[in-house]
Amino acid sequence: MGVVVKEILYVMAIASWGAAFLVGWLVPPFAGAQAPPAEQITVDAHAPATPFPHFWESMFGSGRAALVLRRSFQDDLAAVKSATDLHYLRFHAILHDELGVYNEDEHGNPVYNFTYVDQVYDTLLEHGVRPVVELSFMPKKLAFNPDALHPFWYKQNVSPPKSLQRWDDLIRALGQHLVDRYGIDEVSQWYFEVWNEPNIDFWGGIPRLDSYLELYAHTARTLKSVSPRLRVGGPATAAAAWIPEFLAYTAENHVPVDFVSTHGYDDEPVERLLGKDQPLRDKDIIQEDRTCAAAAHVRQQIDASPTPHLPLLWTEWNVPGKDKLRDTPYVGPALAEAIRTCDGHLDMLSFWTFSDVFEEGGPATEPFQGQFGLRATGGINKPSFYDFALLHHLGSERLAIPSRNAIVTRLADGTLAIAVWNLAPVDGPAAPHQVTLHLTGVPASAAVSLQRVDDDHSNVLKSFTAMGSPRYPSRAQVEQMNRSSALPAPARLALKDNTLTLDLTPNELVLVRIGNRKEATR
Amino acid sequence: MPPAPRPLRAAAAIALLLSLFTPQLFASPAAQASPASAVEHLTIDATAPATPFPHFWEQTFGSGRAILSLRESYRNDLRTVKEATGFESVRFHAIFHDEVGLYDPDRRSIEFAQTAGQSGTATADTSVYNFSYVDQIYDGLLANHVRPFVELSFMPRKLASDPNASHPFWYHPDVSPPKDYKLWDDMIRAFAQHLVTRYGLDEVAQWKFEVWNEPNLDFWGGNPKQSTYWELYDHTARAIKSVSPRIQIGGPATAQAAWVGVFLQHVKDANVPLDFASTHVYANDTAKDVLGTNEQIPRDQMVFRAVQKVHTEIARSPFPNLPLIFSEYNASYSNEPNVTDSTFIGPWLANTIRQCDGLVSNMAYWSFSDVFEEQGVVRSPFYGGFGLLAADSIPKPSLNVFRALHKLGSQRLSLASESALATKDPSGSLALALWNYAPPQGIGPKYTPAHGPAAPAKNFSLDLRHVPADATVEILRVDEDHGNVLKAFNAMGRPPGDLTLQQIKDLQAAGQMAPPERTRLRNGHLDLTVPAYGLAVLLVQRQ
Repeated sequence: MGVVVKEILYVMAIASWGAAFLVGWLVPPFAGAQAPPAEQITVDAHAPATPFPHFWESMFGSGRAALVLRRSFQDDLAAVKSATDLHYLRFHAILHDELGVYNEDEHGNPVYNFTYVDQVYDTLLEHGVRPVVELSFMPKKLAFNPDALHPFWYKQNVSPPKSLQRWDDLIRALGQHLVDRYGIDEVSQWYFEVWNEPNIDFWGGIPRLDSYLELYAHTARTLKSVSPRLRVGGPATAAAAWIPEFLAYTAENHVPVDFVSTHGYDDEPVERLLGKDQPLRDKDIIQEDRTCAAAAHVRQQIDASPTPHLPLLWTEWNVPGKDKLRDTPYVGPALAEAIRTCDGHLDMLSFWTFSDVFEEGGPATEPFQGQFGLRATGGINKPSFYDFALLHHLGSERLAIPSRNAIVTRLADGTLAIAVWNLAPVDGPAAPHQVTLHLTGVPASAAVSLQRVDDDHSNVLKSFTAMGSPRYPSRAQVEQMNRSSALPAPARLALKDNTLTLDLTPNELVLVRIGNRKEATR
Repeated sequence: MPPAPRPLRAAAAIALLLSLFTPQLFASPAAQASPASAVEHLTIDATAPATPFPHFWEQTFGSGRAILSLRESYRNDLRTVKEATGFESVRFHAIFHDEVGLYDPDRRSIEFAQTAGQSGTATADTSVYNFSYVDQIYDGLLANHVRPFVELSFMPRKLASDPNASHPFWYHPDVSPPKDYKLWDDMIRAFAQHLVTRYGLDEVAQWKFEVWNEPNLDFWGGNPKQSTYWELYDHTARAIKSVSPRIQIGGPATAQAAWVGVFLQHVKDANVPLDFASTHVYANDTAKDVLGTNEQIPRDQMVFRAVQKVHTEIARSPFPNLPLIFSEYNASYSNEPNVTDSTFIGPWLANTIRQCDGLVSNMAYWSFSDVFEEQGVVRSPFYGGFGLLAADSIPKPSLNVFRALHKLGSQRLSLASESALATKDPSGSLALALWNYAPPQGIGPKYTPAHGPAAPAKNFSLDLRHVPADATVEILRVDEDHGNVLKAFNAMGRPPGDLTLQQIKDLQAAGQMAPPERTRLRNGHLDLTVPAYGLAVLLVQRQ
């Protein structure tokens, strides 16, 4: 069966399922075959544009709460903050016992201690970052089952509370404490998210959905009793689950909800992200498009709910993790692809995580283990760090173009910022790709600059390998690696007949900036 | 290397000790019937013979356990104390505790639910040792110009003979002996070899390695404690020395100044390497525990008595010149806000220094910071924590006390006083410490508010010889009204916890050292009053 015929059949099947929006996610007809040798993209600098909020870089995930206190975490936070629009940070386990929040005295009366909570949030605010307060996990003395430990290295308790009354009291005390300490004008700009991935092993309630909805209702009402201005949301599910059920429940029971949150990772199966009751399967959507296909699906579920106005916060995602790809320049094209395809479907896309100061599987045993973060253990900038840094320069408006390999944006001053990439999908071929940009509405002598991340540019793995792949790099070696991977000043180019031709190696990401004025003559 | 003990000084100290038991001196000032304060006349000659005065009380500090050193709050406090005291090394527990992740031979990468069943994401980590956090911990110290004083403890659970032998401390270290000494020796060798590879032998040879912590108490689960500790020591010392004979090893790191004499005999008999003897004492330890007697030893003499006892044991041992390190000391082993949070610590510390000088190479005050979790997460800054800085880096009087005593010179002038020390530096400038000791006005975990001074003020009448008759004098004070954050905290009504950001800022400011007073000698004379719980350090310029 030819690919075009196959696509038509899927379009018909999807249409009959009532989700025509999914058509766009189909594996492009040329996937698996030879990519076209050259792609022509026409850009009119004055074309109409749509707003382009930087939804992919304003929120990041991170290691759990206690790790915020570490110097290494704070160094990474400052570094990522300086390179991106990072404004919100989300992490697990603010209520985990290592922070000492909940205890009971000898009479069994609750005793709260917010010393470390304060240190954690003080630290974020000092860095110009606000928390997404994920209310998790269960203090042992408040747990219905004190032995309900998650397999993560830090063994958090995932049991429901032994008393919802006591849970509510704790949440109220915490909310009130935060408002007292930071002021309602500040705290009303935070997000409070109820628990983490209650649909999988992070929640021990039985049945999972009903017991979570009960937890959510209690938590949301309690927070609103502190102040109606506190923003609360959920269900923080893995794999885009439970959204219709959650929104039906909150509407029916008049439970407050200010945002919808859920998760999805590119390397999850299509059936898990989109459900089995639709015709698409793994072979139909490349991994790099799956998170955004799920986001589009969830957006539609919200639109169809009794509360269609709610924002969607995708509070965890990452590109595929196969073969330690997250340490490589592959992240750039995969990230750009997510930005291209998620735009318009969600309000925040929170990359899990900004840093490898992270212990879910135990302390890192070497710098490059394919962990989630932008900075490897020791504060080493991965290619992904530079990928985010490049895409940070995209503009605030997006111009519509048909390409799957480019995002064209415009800055307020009229400068064009264009991301062009050559994604080698994890399950697809890798081949060079040529893109020629044809520009109109730009002076022939406009200033053109180019920056790139690829195997040979800002790719620390090269210098790491060259120094013998030290398992425990010294501080001097880390500094040397970061020096050699640092983004150089943009290369200066010129348009030729108002065109610019780019030859992209597999998994290369390029940022081109084109001024709207003639280059100043000296 | 620390200087060898000086037998003559020790003898002088013993003579002084005996004099302390004369009845009139034994009575505390607070118990005196009359508040009328006597005047102490002191004559100090800047050119009098002097003895070396190494700052043995501020070279090493204790701290919260290893993993806490990764925190920025810990490092902030470290820098503050480094700046105040110039200390050289820090000792903490639990570099082998599982949270540091060193030994975990069965470790497998976590399989995330999202990628369950996929190949290529979970890579088995089959190496036995992971030095990632060990490096971060020691890198962090060295970057701040402080060396580790490596306490080799506690037992990784997968190496433990009893994985359930958890100490009651909040972080629950395993205190059991290893299940297999071959595995322990291998780990010790790998650990030492890694440090030498990373930092170089010339660096690591300047560190101290101490075997375990307080094996005579519940920190060691061997049975019987003493002979099983000897076994641990012998294995560890030999494994360390097999990496390099230049690495310094010591023990027995006991509480209550215990075991040192028998330990040295064991070391001799077993012919195991040993570079220093270490032990601990706290000023509220009992004479029964420390000396095996029923004496009532007051808090300002207990540390000296313990140091003197161990000093004598070493002098009589097969290793009479062995350096003695008290790797933990403080005025209290428990949380007593009237003791460690208060200016009480000034006279107590000065008097302890005065007595112990010459008997000990190094004493490590436990601890430099209240970034500390042995009893759990700190709730109020002033709970009687051991540190010089309370939570949120609030300076305590003890920080100012150390800061002031740091100004003492490198040579000591002989002076017949129990409330004063006279020192000078090579330039001839004098630095004097004067204090007014009184016992704590309250003991135990609950703070006892003061009703008036603990004792009458003490008047000093000083005559200084061989300094300019009108020399400038700078006076650094720590007392009720100087460098005393507790006064400000009490004025706030001692809020029980959850200080506001403003309160923290106010307390940080209130805890600063008071600006020095400046005056001049008149005809070589100066009168000075020091209140109870007060310390004054006088810096007299030669020119």
